[in-house]
Amino acid sequence: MTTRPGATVSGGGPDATAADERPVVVDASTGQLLAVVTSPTAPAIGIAAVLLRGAGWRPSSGPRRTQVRTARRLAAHGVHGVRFSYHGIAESTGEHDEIVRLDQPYTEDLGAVVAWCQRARLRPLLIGNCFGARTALAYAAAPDHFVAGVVMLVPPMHDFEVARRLDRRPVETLAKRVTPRRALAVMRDPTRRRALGRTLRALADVGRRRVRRRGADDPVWLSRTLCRQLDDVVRRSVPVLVVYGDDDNYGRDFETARRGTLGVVVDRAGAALQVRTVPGRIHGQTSVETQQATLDAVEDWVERTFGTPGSPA
Amino acid sequence: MADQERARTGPERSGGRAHDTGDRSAVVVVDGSRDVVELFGDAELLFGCRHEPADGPIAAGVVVCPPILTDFGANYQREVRLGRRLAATGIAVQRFHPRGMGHSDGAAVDVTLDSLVADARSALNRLREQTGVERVGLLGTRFSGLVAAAVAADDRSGAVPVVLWEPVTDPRRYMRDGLRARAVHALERGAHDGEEPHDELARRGFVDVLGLPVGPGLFNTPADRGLGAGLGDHPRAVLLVQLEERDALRPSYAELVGSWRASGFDVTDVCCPVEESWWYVPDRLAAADDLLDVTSAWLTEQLTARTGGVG
Repeated sequence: MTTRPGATVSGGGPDATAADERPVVVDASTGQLLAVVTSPTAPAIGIAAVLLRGAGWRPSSGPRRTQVRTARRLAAHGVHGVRFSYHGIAESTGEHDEIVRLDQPYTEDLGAVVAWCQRARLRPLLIGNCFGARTALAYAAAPDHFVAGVVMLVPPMHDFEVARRLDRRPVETLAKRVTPRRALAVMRDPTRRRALGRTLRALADVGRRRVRRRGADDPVWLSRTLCRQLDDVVRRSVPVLVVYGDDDNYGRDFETARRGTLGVVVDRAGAALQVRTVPGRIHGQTSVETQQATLDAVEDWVERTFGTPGSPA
Repeated sequence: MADQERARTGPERSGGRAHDTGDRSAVVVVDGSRDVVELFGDAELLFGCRHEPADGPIAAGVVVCPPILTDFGANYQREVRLGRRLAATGIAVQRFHPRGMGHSDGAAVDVTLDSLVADARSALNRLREQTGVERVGLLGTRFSGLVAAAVAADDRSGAVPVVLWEPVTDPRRYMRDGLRARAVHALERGAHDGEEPHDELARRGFVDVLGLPVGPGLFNTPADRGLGAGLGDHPRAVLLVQLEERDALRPSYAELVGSWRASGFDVTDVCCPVEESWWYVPDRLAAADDLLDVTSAWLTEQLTARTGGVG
């Protein structure tokens, strides 16, 4: 007996195939975004799952095809799917940023895709992974943005990696790396100068937090922006699903942060916010089993939240 | 750049299954390239992107065979850049996702060397149907070097040049490297990579290589399907690019190039400094300007500067 990953029949219809899909170009201020739209294989429920990748240069297609499989699986529940590559990546045009920052999510890209959904009379359900999760949350938190729901897979709890790493690599270690030769190289290279500027701003922010100690139970690396955005979203009763793997460092960060301000937000959200844990590590998607468990968790939540075709939740 | 770009898409629809092919394409024009994105094929559809010259005639064509597993994502941006660059100079480039990969139909566990070759042939046919080009070349990276070589070997005139970026010479060794990367990844997580691959194949029907299901057909690709014999017996022009900053080819490539030259192949070998880890793909893109310069110049010379046989 063997199993074929991703080959299932679920919901009210079969999984979609490429025959149910078509490429679409979405105009954004950042470029022209190549999206692939999946039509439902069951009666449509008026929702489009907008899939957002993590940072990096990978196209929306894969290589692990998690977005492809998610879109095709959710189609069986009457859900449209829209997966797209960020500006400057793969078939999408525009200038891609060399450094992708958690505190600068791609909400303009997402806004253009959401506008496409709305023109097609579809309510957007944002499903983001890592950086994509932060982009989804940042977009959904804006007061004039209306979304059907937000699914965040392994969202990082910090804004700056250097701040998050300070417990493992303290400032003294960073200071030892400052040599005349390295300083000269940084001053000559605009990219490295910008990186240094970000690092110094992050360290200054951490320093300020240590002095003020507001929210004494909050780790210094916790993104206050994230807490505020999540609070804004759940206060509007937008359903939110957060999924971590039990081996994800970001999941451990979530549990740590939950002891402070984040916990207050989660408790206040009540049933609007669900947190699920699956075996393994979602970040990096390096296990077929974990990919499948994550997809199962998302599918189950979508079915419970929005119902199956013909039986609204 | 944005003001240089134009776009056209098929009509938007809010629902229903799409089984007609009328609206299965989208077009973007950027940097002198008209990118036609489409789903094509028969029973199982392939996702493709054809870079055509935005203005002027099409002189020739190139089919880019994408690498597999983690290499697929690692190499993607280079392939897009090459496609747009060649299109701007009058050479159409057909990229595609093989079945079981990317946006195409099919399951990953069903991918085999033969299915990859069949899909590359479909892409070549699509390129010829849509552009009318006669002179064509092929490009393959890593495992898809075997694919490009096999499709080129269909041509007995020797008029189809082949570019090989860091090609895999031995499919068995490639799989062993993947398993080694998996073991290292497990060690980093504090886990152990306990199950033997053949036991895993029997139990699950695939081997999980860093989150990518590899079916038995691909995993057990015969050793005699290596690159040495893959190019066939008909001499042709070959550009082999080793993606490593070294003065000389590594021994396995040097041996291969020597044997091809002895058989009458016109082989150009180049070492390009691209720092690519392949099995562990970082978030930052490895610089590849030299690689694209070398490849564009070589293909342009092979496909437009020379006259003679038709591929």
